[in-house]
Amino acid sequence: MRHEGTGLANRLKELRAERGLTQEALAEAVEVTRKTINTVERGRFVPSTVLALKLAAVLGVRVEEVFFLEKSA
Amino acid sequence: MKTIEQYERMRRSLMTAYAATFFVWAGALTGLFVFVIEDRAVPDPVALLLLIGTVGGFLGWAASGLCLFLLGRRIGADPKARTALNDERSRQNTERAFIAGFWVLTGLAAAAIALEVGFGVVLTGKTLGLAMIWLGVTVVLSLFVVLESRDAA
Repeated sequence: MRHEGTGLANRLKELRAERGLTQEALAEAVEVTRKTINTVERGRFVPSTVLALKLAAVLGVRVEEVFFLEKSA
Repeated sequence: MKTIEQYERMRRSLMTAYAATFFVWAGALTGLFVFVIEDRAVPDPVALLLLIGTVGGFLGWAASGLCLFLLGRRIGADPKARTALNDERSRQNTERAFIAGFWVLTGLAAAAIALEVGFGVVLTGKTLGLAMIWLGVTVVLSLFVVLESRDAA
């Protein structure tokens, strides 16, 4: 999913689904609300560096595997 | 123990009630000041409506405020819920709501000046102050609720 106007994209939904995690479970693991996970997945909210790192850690991947800049941006 | 999702829904519902009742209460009170206390002509039914709005709005606002306070205490006792409900997206929505409130107040002050310069209508400091509190608080609360609801969609 691409974040509007920033060139930032993410694979959060895909990676979360691969690990069988619900939005609620992921939200609880990184101490945010489910809505925050939802808005990040839909590209409506750009998370802070700290949250991005926490998400990557819970998913067991490097942060750039979750969040990356699209080449066309 | 309620889930974070349940707390969030309760908070949003109570904030909606709080904003709506504040809008009625403070709006009617401002109306009372403008029309009745400043001794401007106003039909009796309107004055009665303003009085009912002031009393009814205040009671609703006080009740929803008390419920919000009690909910806040319950959330405060649950560290996980407290952290999650004050996460960075929620804080961003709060900041956006306050910025919108600032521009509304600036616009209102500009409108008051324009009214005086353009049409010779002078608003007293008391009336303008009440109107600023009325709109300032209502806009901030309502916009926060709208932004939170939009994120929930």
